[in-house]
Amino acid sequence: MPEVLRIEQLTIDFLSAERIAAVREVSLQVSPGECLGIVGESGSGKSQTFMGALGLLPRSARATGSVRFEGREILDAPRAVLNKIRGSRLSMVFQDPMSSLTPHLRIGTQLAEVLVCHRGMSWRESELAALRMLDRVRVPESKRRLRQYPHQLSGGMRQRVMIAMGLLCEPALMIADEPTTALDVTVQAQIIDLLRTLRHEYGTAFVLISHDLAVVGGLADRILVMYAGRVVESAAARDLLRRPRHPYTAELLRCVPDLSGPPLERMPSLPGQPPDAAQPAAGCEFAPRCPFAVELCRAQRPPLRRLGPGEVACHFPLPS
Amino acid sequence: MSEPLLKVRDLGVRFGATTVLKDVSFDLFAGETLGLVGESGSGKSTLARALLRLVPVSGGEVLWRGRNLLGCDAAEMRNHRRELQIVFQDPLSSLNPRMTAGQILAEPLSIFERALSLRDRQLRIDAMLERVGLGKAAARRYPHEFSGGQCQRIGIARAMMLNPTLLVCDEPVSSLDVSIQGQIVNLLFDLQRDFGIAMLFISHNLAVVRHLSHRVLVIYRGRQVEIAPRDTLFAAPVHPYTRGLLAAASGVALSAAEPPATDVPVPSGCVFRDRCAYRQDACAAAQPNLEAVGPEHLVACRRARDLMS
Repeated sequence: MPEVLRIEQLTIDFLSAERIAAVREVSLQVSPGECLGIVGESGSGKSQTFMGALGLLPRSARATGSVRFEGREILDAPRAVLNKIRGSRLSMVFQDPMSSLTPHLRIGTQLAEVLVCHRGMSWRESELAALRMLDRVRVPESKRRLRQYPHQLSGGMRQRVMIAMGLLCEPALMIADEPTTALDVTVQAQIIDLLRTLRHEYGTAFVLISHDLAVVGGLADRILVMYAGRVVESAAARDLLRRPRHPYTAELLRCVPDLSGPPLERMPSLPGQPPDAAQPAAGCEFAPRCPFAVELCRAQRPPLRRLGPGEVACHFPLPS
Repeated sequence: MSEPLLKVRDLGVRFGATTVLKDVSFDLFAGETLGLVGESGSGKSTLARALLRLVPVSGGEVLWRGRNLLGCDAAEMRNHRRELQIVFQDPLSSLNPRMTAGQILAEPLSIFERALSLRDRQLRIDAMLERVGLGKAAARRYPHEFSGGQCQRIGIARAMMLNPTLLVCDEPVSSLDVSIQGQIVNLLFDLQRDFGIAMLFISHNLAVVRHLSHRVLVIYRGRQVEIAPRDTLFAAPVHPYTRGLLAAASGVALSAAEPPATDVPVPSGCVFRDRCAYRQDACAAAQPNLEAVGPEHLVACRRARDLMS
């Protein structure tokens, strides 16, 4: 089956006072119905990759490479083409549901607008469809909610509304960028549960972006780990969580806070800081924080290469 | 046990007609970390701010070394503030973007230690920057030149400049990457051990609270529902809400509905009633009082005894 999304050699630079290399030669594919998890720290380029792919970057950014959505090149496509795709075939859910919703419009209006714009449906029909969708994302008292404003909903409810909005046109792909990060732990688990159910109900492909491997691990079929704008490892979720091959992935896994086992007084943490995108290193970008780095790592950047069932960019991958 | 540093009694906060905190009472001892846990809108941050008189309080007492802070005049309160410091959630917005890290750390000294020579002041700043792991070269840089984790180190350094007795940490790691959270939690842990400060550590993340706290206080919609020593709370939580939070932290969705929006009126009777799997008719009567169910373990639930057996 052809991929829903195929990104090849995507590179994004921000041209401000200094040249900032946000994304470097990223290639990935998403198959229909698949959930791809993208993991990385702030500044790793995980969001920028998809903002770039969707044409949502500021003017100071330059993107090169190829982004094919349902077989069609969309990188640098005209705005009219992108506007048709975004919101209908391809939707996005952002981290902060409050700032993604328009504060002065009722929930019903914001939801219905999607169908009026993309499907040419009447407002009346659209509102009915919006109501059904709110029920499907399990928003209680959906009728009353349609008449409410964003500030009258809790954070979890707002995120459900965003998800409903994203699903209204039955997209082929939904990109969820840190959809649970701004929410309480209690609500996070519910939103992950909801996404899991919706995946099976709609057969939508998902890209789930998060800094937290625990969130991505609960949902993704495949996981791609990014560091300093590059893909450093990708593998089936099960393999990657059980046997990470890149030291960075292993360190991230070690940092996932855990409630099992005796309470430790020191939390596991990854030493050092994420790298500065304005000053790319000659060798492996992770070397300064890597417990296994040797001279070769600092001198020469390891290419991303196949290793067993996955891919890894490391001179000395961990044993499987 | 010695006399607590901080005694909070029946603390209440109202914003207009909305009751944000009601009847919160607890003690905090020197050198102790009390974890404060609850969902968004539960009143965690309001409690932190009320203790430091950063929001108006509608009732109760905050006794600091036996003196009621709520009755202090501005001058006396200012003197107490040297000992009472706070670290905020958002590391970038809590630092002045037009001041260098050095200037940010100098400010508390220029207010409270005016006799200090410029040279000594610089030495103190350098030492603190080293202590929080930034290095003294950081003094000349501006907040936007630092990562989120580094900005939080500056926030912590600023709070530590005057050698406080109590450090209130309001979700200090919630906006940081998981990989960096551990660094900051460990820094706070080390500072506490080295300086013997008391800490009120607020977080919605139980896994983080578990690392740091000696005791944990759980609040829900402004009411205290459980308080217990760390190991008791994590091994044998009693209140249905605490149990739900723990389950959620291990990835199980809390079965009952989500936390209500803050403008939804608090139900009569037990505040947790509408989300509780164990509710009975009697729970509609009134908010249950906190009762001791074990050593240092208090629970506000009518069915606490049943739930324990």
